[in-house]
Amino acid sequence: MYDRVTTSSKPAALFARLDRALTERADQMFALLPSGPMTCGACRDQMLRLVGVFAKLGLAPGDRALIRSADEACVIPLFLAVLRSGTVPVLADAKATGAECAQICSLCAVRAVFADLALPQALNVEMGTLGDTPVAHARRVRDFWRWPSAASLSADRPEPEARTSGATSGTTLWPKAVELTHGNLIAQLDIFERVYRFGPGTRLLNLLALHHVDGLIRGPLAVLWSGGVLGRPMPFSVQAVPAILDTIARESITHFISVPAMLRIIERVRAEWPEAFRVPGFAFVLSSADVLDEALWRRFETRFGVPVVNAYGLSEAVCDALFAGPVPTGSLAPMVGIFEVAASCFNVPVKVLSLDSTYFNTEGWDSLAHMTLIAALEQAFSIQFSAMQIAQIVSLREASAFVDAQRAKQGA
Amino acid sequence: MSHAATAKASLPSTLFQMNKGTGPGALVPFPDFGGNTIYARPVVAALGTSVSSYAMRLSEAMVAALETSMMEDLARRFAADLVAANLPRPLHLMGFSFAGCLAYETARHLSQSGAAPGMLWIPDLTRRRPFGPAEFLRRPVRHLAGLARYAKRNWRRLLLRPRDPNILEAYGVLRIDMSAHPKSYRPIPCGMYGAFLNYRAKPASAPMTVVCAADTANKPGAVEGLGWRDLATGPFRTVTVPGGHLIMRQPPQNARVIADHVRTRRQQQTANLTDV
Repeated sequence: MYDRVTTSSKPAALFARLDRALTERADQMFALLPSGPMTCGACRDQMLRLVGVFAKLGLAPGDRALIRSADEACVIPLFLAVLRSGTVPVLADAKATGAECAQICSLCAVRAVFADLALPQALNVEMGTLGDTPVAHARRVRDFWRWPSAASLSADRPEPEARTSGATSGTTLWPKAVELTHGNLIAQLDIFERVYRFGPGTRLLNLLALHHVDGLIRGPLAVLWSGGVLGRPMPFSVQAVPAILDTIARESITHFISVPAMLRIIERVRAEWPEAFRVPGFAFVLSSADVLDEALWRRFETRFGVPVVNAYGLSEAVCDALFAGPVPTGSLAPMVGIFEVAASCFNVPVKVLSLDSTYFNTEGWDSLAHMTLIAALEQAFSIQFSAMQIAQIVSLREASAFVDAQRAKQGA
Repeated sequence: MSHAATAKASLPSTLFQMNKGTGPGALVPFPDFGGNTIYARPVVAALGTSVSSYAMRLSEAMVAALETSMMEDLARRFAADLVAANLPRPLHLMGFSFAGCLAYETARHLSQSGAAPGMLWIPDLTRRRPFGPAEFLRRPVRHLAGLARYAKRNWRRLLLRPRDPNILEAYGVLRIDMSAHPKSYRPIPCGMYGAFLNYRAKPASAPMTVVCAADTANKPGAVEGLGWRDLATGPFRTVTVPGGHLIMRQPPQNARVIADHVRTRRQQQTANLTDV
């Protein structure tokens, strides 16, 4: 499964798919934001307008642009436009101070700053400075919407291997930037699609900050890539927990993207409401960005009767590390991959398995394990193989292909 | 150009390349009751990269027709695909237990079409004689005792109507209980079992080696060459190795012994230029 992840570094592959998603689903809702629903068409119009603006500003592919805004309706098209124009978006916390922004600008050699009207105070639009750091272009985000410009896009035009940057403090509290190539983004989006099964029916509830990769990539980018819908109706807060959980049923949410702190708060605030996640179509809660301790993991799954996928890993390097849950395999089933199921059947570490693992080169894959594997895959993915498929299973490549085929068949 | 180089890049769906060997020749294990060739793994591992190995497997069409297929039908398709695949020669066909019938019948078809294998390896499969009056009269006491044991073991199942479809058993044949098998898996052993019961082996000229487990050879009434010598019209030999029916795994050195025989045989054939 994993070795089929696309690792193409061509921006065209990313752009073409995003353009297609925004164009073909123009009338459909793309995101539910605090300011209201945003359609794919509206997002595309804004993105095109901004691409035109960047061209007039003279931003060249490869230039870096800092985005710092609390206005999500602006940040999403702005990010897409920066990405789409070949410029490198650098995402900063909307609450970052002027000094912090200046530090990021210096660190990332930023040429343009796009920020909210009021913040940061250190941004001097007229002087073109951020604190003492000169920037070629400093624009208030809302000003863009007054520019009557539009651009035409072509996914085929030659683009440099532009990147997006995430600013992270890591454990040092000092800002450092992690560069992601378009290939990196495609690889992770592909994993979402193949491993998490994100698709056109996916409705993500992701309230994480958009300057964080888990908010941005597991949010707007993931739904654009998969053809789903993003739910961000309100910022996360303790007071908002009941309303947030109401959203799951009302908006037919299929996946809740969270962090351990959120799960802890939800568990504390709504422990007496175990049905919160038991809505038709809801698949799983995904936890990332921090260590998910086993006690919380177990309690949450038991209390709310919903699987929690622990995907804490090197988010900034778009690396999803899936951990086996504390619950029996069956309840984690739809999310865990072929390798995890196979590893448990053969009693070997996941890392030794690949799609090329056959019953001739894999320790533990004997006749009994072969039968166990088939039964375990059927249970894990809620499918039933045909005898014809079973006769063809010699390696995990066939097993993976048949799981995909059966799931697609049942989905259809 | 070597045979390995001329092997078709795209194999028929009934063939799967297990490893790529450096020398001439190819080992080709056949599917067992479960439709897989996992039993051959120890021998393939013992051979290393000295011989290429290709596993035969049932194609989709073969599984679809398995319920009504005869052993000859399956073997005919396997033989045709082996010829089409142009694998490195000489071919060493191998079938453990039930798979021995498939390998035997395929070797027979190949021999008839002028593409006889270099060797047919049948590890521990006693040829099943058709059970009827003639066979009964051949060894009446043994069959009376055998039938009594069979009836005692199965009286409940024999009286039950309808019979449990998950139990496969016939007099003198290995009993298979499929109740623990995934439901989707069951048509394969069911179909293979039916093909096995209906199979009547005919004489074949392919060179044949029967690898006999010591426990099987020492059973009362065991026949030489496990009954295959009677049908062999070509070179025939028996190799006895220690252990019981699961000779490919226990004791572990058996796989190496079988692999050595395959390797030696291949070297002899290569030296004599009997690339068949």
